[in-house]
Amino acid sequence: MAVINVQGLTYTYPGSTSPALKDINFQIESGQLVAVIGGNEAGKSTLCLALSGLIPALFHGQMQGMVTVCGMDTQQYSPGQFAGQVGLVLQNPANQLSGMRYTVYEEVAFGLENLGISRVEMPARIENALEQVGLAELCDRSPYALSGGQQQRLALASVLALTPSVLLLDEPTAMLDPQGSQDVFEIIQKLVQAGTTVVIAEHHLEWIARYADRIIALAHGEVILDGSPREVLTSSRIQEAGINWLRYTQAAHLGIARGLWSPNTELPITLEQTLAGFRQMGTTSSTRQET
Amino acid sequence: MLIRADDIHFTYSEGEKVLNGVSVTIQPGEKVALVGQNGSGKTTLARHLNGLLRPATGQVWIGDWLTQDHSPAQMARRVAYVFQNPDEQLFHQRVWDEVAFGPQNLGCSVREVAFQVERALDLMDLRGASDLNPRDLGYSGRKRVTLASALAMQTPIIVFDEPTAGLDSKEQEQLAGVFSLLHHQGKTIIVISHDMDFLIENMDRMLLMMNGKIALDASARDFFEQSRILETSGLIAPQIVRLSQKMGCSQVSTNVDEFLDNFS
Repeated sequence: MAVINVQGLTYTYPGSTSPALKDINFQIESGQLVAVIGGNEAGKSTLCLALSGLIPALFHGQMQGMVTVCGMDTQQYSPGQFAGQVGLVLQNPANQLSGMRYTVYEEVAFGLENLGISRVEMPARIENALEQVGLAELCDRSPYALSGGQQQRLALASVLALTPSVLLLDEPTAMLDPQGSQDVFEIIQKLVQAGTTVVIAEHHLEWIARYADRIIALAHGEVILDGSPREVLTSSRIQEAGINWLRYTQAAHLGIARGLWSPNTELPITLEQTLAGFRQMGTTSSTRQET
Repeated sequence: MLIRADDIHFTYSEGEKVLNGVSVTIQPGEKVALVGQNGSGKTTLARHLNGLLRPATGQVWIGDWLTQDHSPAQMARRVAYVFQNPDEQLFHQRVWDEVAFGPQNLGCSVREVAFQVERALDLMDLRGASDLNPRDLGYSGRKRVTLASALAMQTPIIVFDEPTAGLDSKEQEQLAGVFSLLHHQGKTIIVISHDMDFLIENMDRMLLMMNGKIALDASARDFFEQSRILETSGLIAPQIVRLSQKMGCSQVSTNVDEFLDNFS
């Protein structure tokens, strides 16, 4: 069942003359991990805001078309009504932290209090969320004494504690070290396996290649590609949109002219696919030399 | 301009030792990456270079200046610093004014300021945005304004904290171009980053920070040969390094062309 339904969505920010999103149409099934990619200004963050209901509720501008999430039309329900169902983690954690709480623990409690979760239920949900993002040990620290990467994890924990059925993440790993990014993607993968629908805007294509079920590529506010990670990430159209191929894909593509990669083998997007393709060619050419 | 840190130690008020005996010398014109896990002390070390932080014990020399004898405003003549988060750094209403702020404070003439600002805006592809409010730009636009502000200072040393975070491929290529231009001008470039694919293609020397110390100091190629220390420090080798290692190439490649040469 489609948990997110976007029909003919066009949105223009107040004071702007050109739309940030133009005639966007897609549906997302429940329990999928969908990545949204695109150059900067392509509309990724705007799309996240539209799926969270903050557009049109907080950003007035001009919206045409319809967005429904968990059966709720974003033009008819308030962000408060969405909050229990849809979680949004912003790109810059400084914009997400409440600024009203003294400790990491209280910061995670803030959202739960606003949803009216009982005090009995709260500690377990807070501890579990902090545990998941690896911040349990820092629970007494001030949110403002954390590093950028730690703040980013705190923003994620605050949303995880709300156990939303749809999770929207706008570049959640931009400030994290590689191990931290991998941890975040493993958390996301577990949530997806447990049935959460996740939409993630992300620049790091290697993580997306490994974890996403589907990729929607945007350029200048329009959907230019929508398909499997391998289909999208090896398309020449994403390069035209200012997104470079992974080094794996580049190596295989350049390898064709040198006879190192078979033109009949689909271009790779993971290390495993790349190794398999180069090795297969290696074996074929050595067999040929022997015969 | 030579950078020299001698056995520096530093503790924030919360008590944990963040730098625990760091000694390093960086030659003029080097392209050095500072890598390590979140919380390993990278940013703290970098902020010692422009005098924003002073060591509890030990000394930091920038050329013939000892950082503790100079104010951050004086240090800004020698070391420019680009913050990870552009919003910590922007405070003017116009992109042009933001970029002009540094050279104006250095006492440059009106003509010199205009020249430096225009040049920096061109380099960061911001010429069309010079009259806009930086706050009206997207994240990467604001980031490029802070990069332009640092370039306009014309300092011999520039420190970039996570310069590629939030930039798309095209903007990253543009940044790589700016780095190579700065390098040709003889400037020292110090980059804090987690983006190993970018670092291996653009940096010469890698410093790995672990628990407030420099755990490894090597050329980019030698650094990534040491896969064991990378694993224990939470780093993941660049795609091209993993590919060349798994394919059994005799040496680590630093870019796609080199990999294909080594392989065939």
